[in-house]
Amino acid sequence: MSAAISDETLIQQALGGRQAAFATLVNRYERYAFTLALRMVKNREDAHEVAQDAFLRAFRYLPDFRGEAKFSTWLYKIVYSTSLNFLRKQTPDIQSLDDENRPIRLADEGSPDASHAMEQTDRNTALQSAIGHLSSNDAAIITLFYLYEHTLDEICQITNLTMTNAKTKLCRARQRLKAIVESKFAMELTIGR
Amino acid sequence: MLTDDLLWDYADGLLEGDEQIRVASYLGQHPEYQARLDAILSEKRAFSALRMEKPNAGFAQQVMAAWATEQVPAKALDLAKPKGRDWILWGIAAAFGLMMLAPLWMAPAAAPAFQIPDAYIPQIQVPTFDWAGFFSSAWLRNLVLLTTAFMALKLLDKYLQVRNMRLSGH
Repeated sequence: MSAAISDETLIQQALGGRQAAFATLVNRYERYAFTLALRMVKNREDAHEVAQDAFLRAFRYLPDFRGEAKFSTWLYKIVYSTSLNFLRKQTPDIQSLDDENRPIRLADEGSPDASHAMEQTDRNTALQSAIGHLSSNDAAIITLFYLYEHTLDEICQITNLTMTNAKTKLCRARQRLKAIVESKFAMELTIGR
Repeated sequence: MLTDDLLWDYADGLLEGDEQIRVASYLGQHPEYQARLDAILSEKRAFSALRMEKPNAGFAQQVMAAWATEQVPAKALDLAKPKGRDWILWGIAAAFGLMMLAPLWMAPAAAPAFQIPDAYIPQIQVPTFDWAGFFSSAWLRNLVLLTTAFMALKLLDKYLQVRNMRLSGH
């Protein structure tokens, strides 16, 4: 029944004081918020804390939500910034959150085997593990674009990046992911011939 | 030549209109790139098929419990600040304070006054009031006692209200 209720209606009900509306929003987005947080903080317990803090911040500032963006975009922006704040407390060196300076070593782009390696049954497991090896920002952008199927415009709203930066970061994140899969998980993947 | 990055952008729909058309046209003329595009599309499907992580059981309940706890102090503050009725408490406190200060006023009246010779005292008729009788009257003593008791009960009531609101949030 609650799936038929739009986010806008739930928000209005929540602002009217209905606790059930808050609970429905949490149930609807808990996996998305937790997954994004986990991709960034790399630890389940920390991700729980981050996701919970993000939901509380979202409820606290719900009166300020003007509906110009989707609620999910707004929520993920809060999750993203909460994760970054959490990581900054753990890692004073902000640059370590983003591996822009880490060299990208790619397999021969002209080789069909590099792409073929992905077309295997253990692909999901390898991908899942490989994303865990990405930096927080790379993992976040990969998750938001490919798993959550957000547009680049929405990703820009979530991450405060410009369109050009977002596109560049997506490209680099993809390249790093590919490099990780090939270097760490090539043995787990059987190459189809 | 089409690079992997360009093919990915094409597959992701990130190319501008003209470039999208140019790549599509190039692919049509060079079918050998189609296999790479198919592989890229397969990788995209793999990304989309990644499972969503599930938080531990009871996550939603924890969030709601934390949210409810956050709401309690706000409600308690609202109760602790009754709108428009603070003047009652302040009025009672002022009356009580005045009555507590009354003995200080009575002291000069009770103490022996410095005797100024009559010749130096201007003969002015000043209205007098029997303050000593007023402050020693039984009804005033009862009023002070009742006011003190009322204030004490009022403060106790407020304290218990705030405490109960905080405890009910656990």
